[in-house]
Amino acid sequence: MEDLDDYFMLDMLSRLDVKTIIYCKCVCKRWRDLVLDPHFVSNLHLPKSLSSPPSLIIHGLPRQNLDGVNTYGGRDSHGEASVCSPGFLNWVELQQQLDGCQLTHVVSHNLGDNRCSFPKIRMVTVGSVNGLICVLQKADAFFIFNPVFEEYMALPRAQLVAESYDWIHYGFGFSLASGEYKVIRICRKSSSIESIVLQTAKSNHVEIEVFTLGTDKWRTLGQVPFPGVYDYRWGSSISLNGHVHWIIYGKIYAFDLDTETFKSFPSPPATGDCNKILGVLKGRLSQFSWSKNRFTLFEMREYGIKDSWYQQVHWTEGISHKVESGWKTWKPLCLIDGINGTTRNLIAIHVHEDKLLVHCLDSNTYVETNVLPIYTTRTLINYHPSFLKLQKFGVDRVHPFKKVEDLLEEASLGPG
Amino acid sequence: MSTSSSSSKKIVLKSADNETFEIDEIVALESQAIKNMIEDECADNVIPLGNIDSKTLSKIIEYCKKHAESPKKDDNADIDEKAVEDLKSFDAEFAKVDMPLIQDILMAANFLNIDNLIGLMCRTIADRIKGKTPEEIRKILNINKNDLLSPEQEAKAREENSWAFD
Repeated sequence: MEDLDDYFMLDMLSRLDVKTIIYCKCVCKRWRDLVLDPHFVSNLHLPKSLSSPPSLIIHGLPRQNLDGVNTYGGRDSHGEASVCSPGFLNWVELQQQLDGCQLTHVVSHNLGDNRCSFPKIRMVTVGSVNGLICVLQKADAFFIFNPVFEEYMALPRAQLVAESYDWIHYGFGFSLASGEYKVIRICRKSSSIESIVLQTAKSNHVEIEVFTLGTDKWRTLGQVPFPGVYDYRWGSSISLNGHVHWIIYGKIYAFDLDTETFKSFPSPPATGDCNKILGVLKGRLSQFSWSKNRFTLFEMREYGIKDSWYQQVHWTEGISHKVESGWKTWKPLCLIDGINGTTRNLIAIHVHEDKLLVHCLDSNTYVETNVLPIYTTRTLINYHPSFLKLQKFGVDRVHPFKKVEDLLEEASLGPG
Repeated sequence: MSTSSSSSKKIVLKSADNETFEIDEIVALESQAIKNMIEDECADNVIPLGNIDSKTLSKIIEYCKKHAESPKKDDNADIDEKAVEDLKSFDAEFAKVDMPLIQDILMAANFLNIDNLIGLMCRTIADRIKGKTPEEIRKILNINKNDLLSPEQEAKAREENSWAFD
């Protein structure tokens, strides 16, 4: 194959799945260099991955550490450390089966084993963009993963001291204007009784700090007007179009990563449903809302334009008639495109058992699927695999997972 | 050759081994390179293709004939689904050749600038190595032995993504 131009090789490589590309990387020197070339990674493979139906990252906790953990997507205000493992990051793919979409495991990274040296405390998922996953331990220790590679990046400790704030939340996204990856941390200061009485506390202001991957310091934006409510139910951020988004009490909040400001963001017309989640379907911001026996899906056809919210799906005869106890038993977690790119799917989790539901919203049909028996699901996010190397953002901060041989050596050197 | 096309303008292609192929101009126009030559009026009656052998050239002509006959996508918005399917199954059959010929066709298609055919050949190579191990890929594509990674380099390349080899 030495006769073929790099051009064809790159064309051919960008048609392959991640696993085969990894195999190609080991074929010969030339292929290795092509796969690791930033041109292939950023200009060929990434756009292809982003335009393909995504995979899922399931953040799960090992079963033996479940005591005291009761919510799936929720977290308390400080992401407070409970004694348990950081858990697993599981990369799962949707596969088209005869009876609908099923989930299959690609790889499961156990962040709690000795190959990674994380403190044995709980970890939460901040968000995912361009194949990078941002997770957090306590309220100020952030890590970036690329599940394709066996390594992680530790960000410098955030600067605003967690104890001084009574509400902190996070987001992770990509700024289109600057081409930078940014982690944001939103902190609300506890107000003293005195300041509340004298009305000197700016209750609608927060302090925000930003970390841009590739730099070595958090930047503080100071006091920023904040349109939102302070609630522990803010989930993982949804990154789209240079913004990160959340939905709280039915209202959508967006943070513009280019201008680094909060924006008031138009919501779709009211559906009367009080339960809502946000997601991305066919590249569009989408809102799924549900009540006892109905559900509605809105898609924003033109980003940021209120009138472009379009009611894509509405079923009044909800799945409660089909699935046992409906939404009481199944908690909607995330939205995902079907494997052929034509269907819109909801992933919901059984609130008592470790079962996931892949629910095709267009046809109102569903498939139940079991996840690996070793963990229980906490959060689910969409994931587009990429070959972005974390070293690009600072070699010093990247740590490979330890090899088994190294661990054996450590064990033999250790006391006893 | 059908009678309707026998009256149309002919182009003669000459392979590296001096075999000549007379084809309808419409078939030759599938090649952007030949199209440019004809438009610039720098094509004689006979176009010599000094780097394409007759075996490869006859395959390429077979491809161009079929694609020239098929209705083009931009001709008609609601294109006949049957025609699309027909072309798909032709492409699938066409690609059932050995790897050296695929590479020859790919290189010739590049020279003649036939985009669809370049895509088809790249897709075919990708399909053949999908899910194959590095050893199998080297065999399928007859990789140059001088370019292999050293054992240390290969171990490092595997280690970065060791989950894929479990």
